[in-house]
Amino acid sequence: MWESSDEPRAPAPMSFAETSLANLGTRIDLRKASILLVEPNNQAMDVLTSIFLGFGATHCQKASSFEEAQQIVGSSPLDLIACEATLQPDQPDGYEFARWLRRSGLEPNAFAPLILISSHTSSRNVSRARDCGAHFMISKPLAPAVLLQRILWIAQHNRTFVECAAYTGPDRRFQNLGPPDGVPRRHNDLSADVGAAVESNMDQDEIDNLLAPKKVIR
Amino acid sequence: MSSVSYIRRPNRLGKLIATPGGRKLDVAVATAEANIESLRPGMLAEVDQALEGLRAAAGRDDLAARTEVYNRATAIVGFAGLCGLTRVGEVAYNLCELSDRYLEAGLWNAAAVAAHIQTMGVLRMADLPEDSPEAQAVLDGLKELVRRAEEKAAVSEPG
Repeated sequence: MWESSDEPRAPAPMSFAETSLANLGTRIDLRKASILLVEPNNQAMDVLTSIFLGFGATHCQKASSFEEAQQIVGSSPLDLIACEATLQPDQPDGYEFARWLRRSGLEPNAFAPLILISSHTSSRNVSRARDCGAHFMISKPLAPAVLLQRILWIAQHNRTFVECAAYTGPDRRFQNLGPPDGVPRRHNDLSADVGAAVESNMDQDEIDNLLAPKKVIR
Repeated sequence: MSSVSYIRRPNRLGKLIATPGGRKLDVAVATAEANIESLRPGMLAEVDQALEGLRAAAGRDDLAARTEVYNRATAIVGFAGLCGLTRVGEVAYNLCELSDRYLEAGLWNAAAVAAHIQTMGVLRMADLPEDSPEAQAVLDGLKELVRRAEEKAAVSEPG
């Protein structure tokens, strides 16, 4: 169940000014960002690396398997992780890596932004990515513009993390779509009930006057 | 009722990215695209290697071979669109969908898989323009195959 009377309240969203992100939207500076790239195929790793180099990244650590990725996560703080969903055969895949990462308890990496990359973005795979704690799933062939857009989105929207028995990861309710079908509302969701009107409706002239710009004569 | 915790962490990535300086977004994208372009020969080789692997896997009839068909198709999707083989990539994606549905439903249609592989082979060698109606007609036919596989898989699902 999502609802609980004694659960802590979700903090209010951080304001734009609070995070000092004024530079976002025109430029990107990844020079000081520590980035983990997880990709088992050498050529695909070259593609991924060349994209991040193009974005100006200088600290990219590479892992070709689940184990290597685990070792890097345990050894240094990361600011961003880009992980292929299909890793080595007979090993845990990228979805498992995301699930492990979110429940690893490793600070601050357990909360690091994670983008899963997949050639086959069927609705089933996208749902798996969402439910294992990834911030986004991006489809191959990788388009630099799309990847950059997603990175900027993650940077601008610092999603709250949710921890419960069934899920650990960034809050999946980040769009104004209401709770999913069959899932009860959280205590901090807005009420579905609309209150009674406290004054009469505005007539059309009043609405027009409110919306029409007027020149102020001094 | 299980308890739910909400955790807010500092936005490290946002602060790093927003540091004054860095690259303009359009320059960053253009540089990344130019970097990818330099990898084109290697990516074409990956597509050809995956196609070879697909042909070999399609010639066998066991579960491992079927899984390999899916994996090789995903490899082609990852590279084809980056080295000017968009149509090949589309057929490969279609094969991903088809083989995924077959694997999930415990079905397999070797002829449908072979049709995809042959089409990719032809499109790889033919110098068809991106908006070629012939290539589009072939793609539409393959999508119809996937739709039928989806219907069959739905019928075979228990309950």
